[in-house]
Amino acid sequence: MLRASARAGVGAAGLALVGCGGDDDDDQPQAVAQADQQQDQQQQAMQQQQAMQQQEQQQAMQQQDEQAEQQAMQQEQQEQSAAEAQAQQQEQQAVADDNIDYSATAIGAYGAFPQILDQGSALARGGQSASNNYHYAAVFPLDPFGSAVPGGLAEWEFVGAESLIVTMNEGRTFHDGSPVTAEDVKFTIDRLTGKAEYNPEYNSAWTGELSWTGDNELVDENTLRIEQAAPSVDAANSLALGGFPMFPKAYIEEVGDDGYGQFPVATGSFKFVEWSADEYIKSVRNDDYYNGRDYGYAPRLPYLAGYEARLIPEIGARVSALEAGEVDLANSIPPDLAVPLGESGDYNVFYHPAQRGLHIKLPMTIEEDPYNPGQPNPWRDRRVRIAANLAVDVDAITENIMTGRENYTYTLSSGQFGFPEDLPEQRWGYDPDEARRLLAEAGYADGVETDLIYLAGLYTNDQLFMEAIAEMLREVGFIVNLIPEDISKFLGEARNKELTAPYLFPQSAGFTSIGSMAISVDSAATYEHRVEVLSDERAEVDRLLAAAKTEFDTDKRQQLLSDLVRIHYLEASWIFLFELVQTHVAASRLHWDPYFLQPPSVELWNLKSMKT
Amino acid sequence: MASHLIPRVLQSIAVVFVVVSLVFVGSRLIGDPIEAYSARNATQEAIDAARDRLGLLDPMIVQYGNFLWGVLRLDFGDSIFSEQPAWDEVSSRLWATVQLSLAAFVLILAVGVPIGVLAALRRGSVPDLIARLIALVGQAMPNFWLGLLLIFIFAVQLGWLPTSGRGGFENLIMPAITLAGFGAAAAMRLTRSGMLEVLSNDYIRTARAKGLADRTVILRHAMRNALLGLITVLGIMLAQLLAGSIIVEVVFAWPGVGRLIFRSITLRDFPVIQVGVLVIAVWFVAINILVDISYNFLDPRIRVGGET
Amino acid sequence: MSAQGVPVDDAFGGLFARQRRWTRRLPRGWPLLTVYLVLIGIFVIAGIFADLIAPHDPTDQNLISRLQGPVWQEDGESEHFLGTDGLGRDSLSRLIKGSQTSLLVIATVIPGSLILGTAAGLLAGWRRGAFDSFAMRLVEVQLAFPALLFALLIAAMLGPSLRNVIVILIVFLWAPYARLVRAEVLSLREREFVVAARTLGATDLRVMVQHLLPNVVNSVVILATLNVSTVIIAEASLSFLGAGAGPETISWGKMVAEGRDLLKIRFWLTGFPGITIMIVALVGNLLGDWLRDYLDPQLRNIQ
Repeated sequence: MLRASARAGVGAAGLALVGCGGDDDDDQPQAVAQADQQQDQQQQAMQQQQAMQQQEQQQAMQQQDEQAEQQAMQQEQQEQSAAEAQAQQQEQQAVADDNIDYSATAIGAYGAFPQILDQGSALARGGQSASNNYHYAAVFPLDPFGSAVPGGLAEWEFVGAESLIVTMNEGRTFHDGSPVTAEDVKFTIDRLTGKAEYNPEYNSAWTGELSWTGDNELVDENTLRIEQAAPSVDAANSLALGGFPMFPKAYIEEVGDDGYGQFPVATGSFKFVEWSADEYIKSVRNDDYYNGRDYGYAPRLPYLAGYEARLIPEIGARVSALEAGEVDLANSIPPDLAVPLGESGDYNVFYHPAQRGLHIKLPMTIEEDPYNPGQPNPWRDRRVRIAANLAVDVDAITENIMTGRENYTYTLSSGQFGFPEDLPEQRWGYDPDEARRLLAEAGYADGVETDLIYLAGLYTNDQLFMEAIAEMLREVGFIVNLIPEDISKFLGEARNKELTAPYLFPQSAGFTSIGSMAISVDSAATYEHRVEVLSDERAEVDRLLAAAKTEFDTDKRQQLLSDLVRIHYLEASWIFLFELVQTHVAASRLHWDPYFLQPPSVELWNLKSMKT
Repeated sequence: MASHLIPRVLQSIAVVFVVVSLVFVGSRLIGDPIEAYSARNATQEAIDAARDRLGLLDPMIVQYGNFLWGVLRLDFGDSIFSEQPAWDEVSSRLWATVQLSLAAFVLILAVGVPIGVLAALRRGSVPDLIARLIALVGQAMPNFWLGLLLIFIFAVQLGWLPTSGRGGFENLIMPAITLAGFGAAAAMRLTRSGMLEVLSNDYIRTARAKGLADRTVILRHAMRNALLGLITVLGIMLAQLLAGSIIVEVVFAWPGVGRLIFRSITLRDFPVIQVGVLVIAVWFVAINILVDISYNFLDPRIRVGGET
Repeated sequence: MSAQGVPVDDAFGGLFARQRRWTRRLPRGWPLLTVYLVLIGIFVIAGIFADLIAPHDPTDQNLISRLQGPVWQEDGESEHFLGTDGLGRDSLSRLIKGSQTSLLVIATVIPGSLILGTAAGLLAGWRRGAFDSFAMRLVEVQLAFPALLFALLIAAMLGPSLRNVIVILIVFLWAPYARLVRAEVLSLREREFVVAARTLGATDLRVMVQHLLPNVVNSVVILATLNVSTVIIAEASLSFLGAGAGPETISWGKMVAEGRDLLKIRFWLTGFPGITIMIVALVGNLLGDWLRDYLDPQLRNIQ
């Protein structure tokens, strides 16, 4: 999949959490079920309390240094909504534990597989998030917002603004039984940043996330000191990301990168058994997983005893396999098919808010109109860009073509992180007449000819909503050539900055840190999908960003970021669309309550199979 | 016969050579995956270094030479993604596709041909009309559509067969029917018309009129002649089933070579594309040679290569 | 025979004779032929005048009334006789507009491959020698080449478009014509009228165009008719793999491919274009069969 710059960006609170429903088939008498539920809630509340205390302690320890301040800011915000989120989760936690079948296995059907099972490799792009990331667990666990919490493979401590000390916890092992040591953490970071001795040319997918790391050295066999080349509030978080891999040094040096890509040994809550690249990936529960089911954060020991991912490319065949009882979970099913299945009562529909705010990035860097050589690029005229935003009826698309649960995205920040409260009042909205007027005013009464590029088949119903958008743009006078591209061509063009036409792009739906925002916003950033802001506002954006980086007063910083987000939105350098919600259909015995606010996929450790 | 066979084989090698060369050029024109699948902040130097390791910075003619030299040594390079030998990637899936193609071919022979014969013998009867209608429909139906309909009816509604994947015999039934659909219909029509033609020949009419010869003898004779004309067509069918299985493999999640090549084109994994197409081309010419030989064997009057 | 002395019998006989002549002039199986021709007429007229006939603009979207059933279903409306697709576009209008695309593909691919293949076959069969071996090896390469995969390569290179589909189909469909024509020319070249023409000093071109071509036309036309279904189905298959016509083009093949995900709950989305493809392909095949029986009963082996 396309990985947006801020992999950690799971912090948007604006999203409604959606449960899987379907508790009706509970055989238990209701009273018992309720009692269980209450117990469950109490337990969770206690866990939450403990976790908060831990967080507070941590904060107290870190108060002195600047970085901790930044993190505190984040955590403050999160604590407020953490309780809310937890409450929401508990509402859905209507499944009685007694009914869970701990020996059950499940089969999930997917439309795509990764090419290799090495989560660290850029060659695994495409299908990775949907398939084997459950084999991996990061160095630190995560809270529902995607921030690192204690209790993982190691604990961490900031020493000044310069370095991060990682101290290993006892009794953590890889799937092959070997202990996870500080040396393995060092090896993992080295491998992912191209410093590992065995292969410095390793094609890492995580360099962006680890760009803050400088030199690292083993203090003793249990302790690693990581220097921060660029001080970052995300330092700990980036070692806690969902799907972040931990590599066993000895094993990889023995089997090599190609061997590892075929047989991953990792630390996740599921253990890899075998795979066939075109057929299946088989896994079993890692019973030695260090965090049990009572642990407050993610991931935990899974409920399922085993899991098989099966590759079924055709959507129709995937649904058929589910209906025939061959698989228990059909991933990425268009709402048109999923909703009736859910309504039939025989299936649970999982709505999974993916971390992607879709938008169409408008080409503003080129001076000349590719369609009319010699003429200025019409997209550099803000009125044309606003007209494009006014032309697209996003709500009609989400209501009718998608699930109706998608939120409109102000993309740079749709959550609590520097989101201007009053921005929704300034939303462009749908106004084709005004769009036509603006185009005429800009001197394009005869229309603006443009290509519109998208990566075909990547998102549910993408062909449908892109055709709808193209038609809506045509309605107001754009002359649109819709162009579906395949993944290699698209990625290559994006890298080379050869995408000179508007294109569909997923931005991580809301940043959680200034660091991740800077990658996309800073005018000095080389990021290929960088946010473009023209003219005077460009300098203002850079000023706001720089100011925010050194502003330690939380309220003031929020204000700076809000101003930045507002400028970006009103600049209309994108056509703002919606935050994607994926739809999966499962057999009624399977239950899933999303733990993360924006889960990267169906969290398998949290998937429960009911006794039947 | 060997003297006819040698030039035939040499010609076939030339055909394979041309096909493979075309694919070499084609897969270079679609670009390489290095740019798209490099680390986010990889420098241009790093990207060029990766290209250099794969020999992509050499002039095209040098790359082509290296490629041919590799083919001669049966070394086709590694898949860019899995880093496994491209030959292994293809060969591990080859049996699945061959199995599917052969099953479809058996269906064509076992269903298309006999029904064609029967339809010809009972020309104009209701069974004949039904058979012809089914054959016409079969030839007029896109096979992905047929496949999805079969899944819906036999796997979901009736629950008789598994929907997809490869496993036991029951997994093979629907993909084989889907793949055979078009060919079986064509074979049926060709057999029927071939039989009718033979049956209308004078010697058969005479034999029948005399009432002397045993009916089965006539039939055997007629069929032999009718089928002889079919061999070329059936041979081409068998050859094309392998390459044509790609759609069926996608619909039924069949882990075969067609899907591998399809995916490799999307990914620009050209070593795999090249081996995959090479295998298909070799399969094709090999079957053509076999057809020639069997033709020669069945009908000594026709000499191999006599046509050209 | 005097004018006034026409016997009654004869008069009647003449009448019947005239009638017999009239029916005799009709080819065998004319009732069915009429049906085929009417169907083809509908197809051609729908294709040419699609914009006039279609009740709606086939690109007109209406997200509110998407995925409506055909008129005879519960959720159908008389507004949209065959219902609407995933973007609320009128299925009937798209079907009609799609016939234009199919017609365009057929009208370019079949003559294109026919001319190319016939010319190559004539030359190869008549001139023999180097060109012949070259052309025949090319035919073999063509047949050994997985056409679908080649089409995917082209689509990966240039992006999906109708133009590419047409070019690919021409490139892959000329070979059967070349084979067929060459084989016929080989048997014709020793015939008296050809030998005579040559001894009288006719140029190669003249022999080929005036003497050979008329004799292969029948079989070529039959093959072309039978190819109609091949072309339509090939276009649908390319669309299925994402290598078909671009998003701006409405085609039956694409309609079948696009509607397949919802096959279970909205059968008609693929059903109508699927059935239409089948009917056109069927008529093409039946007409081909009929032509073969009519023109040249000996050519039973043309596939």
